[in-house]
Amino acid sequence: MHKFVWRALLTIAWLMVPQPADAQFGAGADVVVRSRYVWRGITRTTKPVVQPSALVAWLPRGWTITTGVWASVEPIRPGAADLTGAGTDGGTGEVDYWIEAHTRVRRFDVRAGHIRYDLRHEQTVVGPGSGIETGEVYTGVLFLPGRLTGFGATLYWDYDVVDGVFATVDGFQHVPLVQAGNWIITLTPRIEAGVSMGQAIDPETGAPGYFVDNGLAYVSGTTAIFANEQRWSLHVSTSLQYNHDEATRVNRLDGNKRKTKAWIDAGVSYAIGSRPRTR
Amino acid sequence: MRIAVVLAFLFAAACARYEFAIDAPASPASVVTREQLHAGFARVDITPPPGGGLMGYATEGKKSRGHRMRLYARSLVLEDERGERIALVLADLGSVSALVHRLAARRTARAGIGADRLILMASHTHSAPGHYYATPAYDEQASRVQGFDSAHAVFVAERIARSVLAASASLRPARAAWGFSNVWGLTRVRDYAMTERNPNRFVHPSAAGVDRFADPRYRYIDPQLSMLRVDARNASGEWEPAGSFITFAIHGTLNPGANELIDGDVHSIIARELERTIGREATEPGELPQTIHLFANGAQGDITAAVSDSTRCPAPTYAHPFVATGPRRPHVGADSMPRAFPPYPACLTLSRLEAVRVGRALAQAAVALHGSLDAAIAHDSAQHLRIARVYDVVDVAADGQTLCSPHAGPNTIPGPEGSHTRLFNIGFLRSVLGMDTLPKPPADSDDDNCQGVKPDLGMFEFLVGGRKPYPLQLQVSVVRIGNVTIGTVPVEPTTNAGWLMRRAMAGSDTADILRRYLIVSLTNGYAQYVTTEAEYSAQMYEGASTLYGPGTANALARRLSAMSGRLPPPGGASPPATVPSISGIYRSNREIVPRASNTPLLVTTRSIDTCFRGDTLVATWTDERPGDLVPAGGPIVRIDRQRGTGFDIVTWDDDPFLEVWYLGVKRRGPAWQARYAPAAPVRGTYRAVLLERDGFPETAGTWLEWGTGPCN
Repeated sequence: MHKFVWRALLTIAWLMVPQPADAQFGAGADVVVRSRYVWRGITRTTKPVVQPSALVAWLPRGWTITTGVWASVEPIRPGAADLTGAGTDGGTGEVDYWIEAHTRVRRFDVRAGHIRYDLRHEQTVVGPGSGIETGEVYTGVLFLPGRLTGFGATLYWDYDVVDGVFATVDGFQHVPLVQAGNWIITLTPRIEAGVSMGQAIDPETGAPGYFVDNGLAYVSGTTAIFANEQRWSLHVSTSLQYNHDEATRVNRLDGNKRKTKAWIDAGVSYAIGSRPRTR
Repeated sequence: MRIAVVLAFLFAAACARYEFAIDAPASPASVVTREQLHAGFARVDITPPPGGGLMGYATEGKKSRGHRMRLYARSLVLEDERGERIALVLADLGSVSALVHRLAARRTARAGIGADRLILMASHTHSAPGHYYATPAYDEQASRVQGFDSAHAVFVAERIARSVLAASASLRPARAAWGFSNVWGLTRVRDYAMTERNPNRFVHPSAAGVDRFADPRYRYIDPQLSMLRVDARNASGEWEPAGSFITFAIHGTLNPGANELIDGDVHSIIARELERTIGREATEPGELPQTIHLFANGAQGDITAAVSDSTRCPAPTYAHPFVATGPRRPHVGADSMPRAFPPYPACLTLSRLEAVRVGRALAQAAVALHGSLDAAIAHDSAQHLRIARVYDVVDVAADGQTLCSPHAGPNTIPGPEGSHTRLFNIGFLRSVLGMDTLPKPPADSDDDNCQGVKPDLGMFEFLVGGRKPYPLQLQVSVVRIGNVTIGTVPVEPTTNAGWLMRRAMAGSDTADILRRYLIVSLTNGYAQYVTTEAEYSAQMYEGASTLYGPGTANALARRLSAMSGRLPPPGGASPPATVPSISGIYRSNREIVPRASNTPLLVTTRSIDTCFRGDTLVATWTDERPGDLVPAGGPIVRIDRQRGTGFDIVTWDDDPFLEVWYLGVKRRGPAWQARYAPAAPVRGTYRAVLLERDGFPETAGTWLEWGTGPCN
């Protein structure tokens, strides 16, 4: 609990630092309900999860600096094969904290940040539900040839428990379908592929050998319907993922035996704030 | 299995389509003989209630929420000494359909005007509802409101027929004369890179050697204003102006796609100005002016009004200043999430002012031309103009040589210069469709492909248009009035395609082609654009919208030439016409334009609240629902200005600066609002008055000094 307090105080202190005159603030919150929680090719739980998040942003000229918290809450008791909460009654399986900066250089959106994972009931060699914490720094670039199209690549380096790298590439296209008043309904197909270079979860070995190298690759496709207005955004999406996992032992767990995984999610988000007009 | 059956049923329902034959009688043989030319004019209101989609701007065409300048069907019926009749009807519509033409002809045949003598033209306003085509492409893609509404087709046709019958019933001894003038600077070419492809571009003689237009878009137009002035004898036997039939090439797109009001656009403003200037103008709501003027479109496929770019409300470009992001969200970029575009008050106001400027300037030119015909119309020959017509139906499927099976190219989707759709703003789509590389480089024609360089939308065309989405039969006429021959086509020819057709009609008669051979577009049906073969090669919007391939202009020119050759010598009888069936297709027939309800809301009394929002007089009242209240039934609201103990009628809801909005059902019932914002308000005390209608008495609001009494 003391970590929450410490991070909250840090955030408030940061917000109180005098800012340039043209800087503005943004804030947002969202909640997503998922039929199953799949992360980087691995089914973390086959049960539905609720994943809320909140962020605040500082918007100095040309930059967006955000910090936020994200959680995965499991309302249904997880099973033995569910990595997130084995041996527990569910509850909050994971809490992540992050800070990120991004800026736009012509048609490129560049970002870098740090994320801290608190996998609160993760199975480890110490035993089910013992939990694990680790952290990553990451950097990514998104090429935006048009306002509604993007192709990105991101590199994550786990500097803590894993000492490995995970890389993703993705592409999306927003296709506006209908405008009704202030709302626009959009169809957004998105493709993502990822590969582990030293980072895949293996429940049968302990840290530091808890992760194995070059263990996993996946490709997933998501089709989302967004309804957006100035502040609100609603979405429903379906995802289909195929993974190639010959090295990790996670693939022996019930939730991960299948190479093809599908899930749906639905969410609502709210964001306020705007960029300085001078930008 | 059960799911499969349900899915199969739903799929079949989605793909279902209904095809029916559209028939109409030909005109009976002429039996009347008269001593001289006779003419009759009429004007009937065709303004529907709000609710239909404003056709013409495709994805940008809004659902109508009220009206501004009313839509009319203006008719001129002419009958010569042999009893040869022709009905020229100009409807304030985006285009007309063969269905509406033939439904109207069924009703007018009893007045001697069958389908072959009914020339139904559209002004091409992009601010009038469609839904009357029985052609899937236009019922489903012309605006954001999709569907076919047979009751609306009947409503429009019935009112057009009423206009023709009224004109026919008011035939009076008449005299008529043709005149021509040139109007430069009010129109220009759009998508000029396409026009530039023509090896021998059309250059009007009055532009030759004139260096006043450095911008070629203003030079390579047809500036000709052609007028048939008609005078008629009044009750006391004196000649007086009765009206005119005018052709000029200009797109009715001064209202941008962001407009939500039914409106006659620039053509209404021109007609209103002419009716106000020539003869006695209407001074009270519902009164007809002394003269009625039909301002029809020439070869306007590539011609738009020369107006400021600021009038073109851009389509949404999807951007948002701040989007929540982070490692746990897909990285979508700071401003790539589509967000709604704000309203467009400035560009809509500017477009209104520009429409009035262009409309009044064209009206002034027409008034001057009308006046210049005083001597010509007084000549004895003006009472003995002869009429002839040849009518034909081009069967695209039977052509088999030059006309291809119809399909639209991908560049129909982004729209033309000045009216791009939101789809143009999607970079990915632009790249896929090749919009970034327009115009297309000249390419060798592909002998195996009838459509030449036009890319095929393939399965996507099926998705957006359905099977057989486009017309396969085109009604074409050649009409001769006096010494002027008019080719009427159900398409929008470009200037150069129109010139090709005019030359073809002239044949070996090459003297003064411009003044003796005219093209009237958007007549008796609709089948999009026609470009020349060279323009087609650019595959810009107009070329992509030339449905029947690169040879369309030549094919139509040949047909018009042949028909022109079948015209009788002056004074002879027109050849008999046969009117073959035309097929109509729809996928679903539903109520789109509101109809009278079986259970009308009981609004027993009407009260009107008046206030000012800046320089706009705002009057709000409760009234019947759209459908129970049909604007075509008569004017709804009037604006008065106090004068001594009396008042002057300033205007009513047929004015470029008076808008009537339907606000929806509110607490007190269906709410309507009038907004009067003249360009130059005259100070004084004003009130709004609800006119007597359907048993409701006239109801006046309170008098307010202009600009006082701010709205809450």
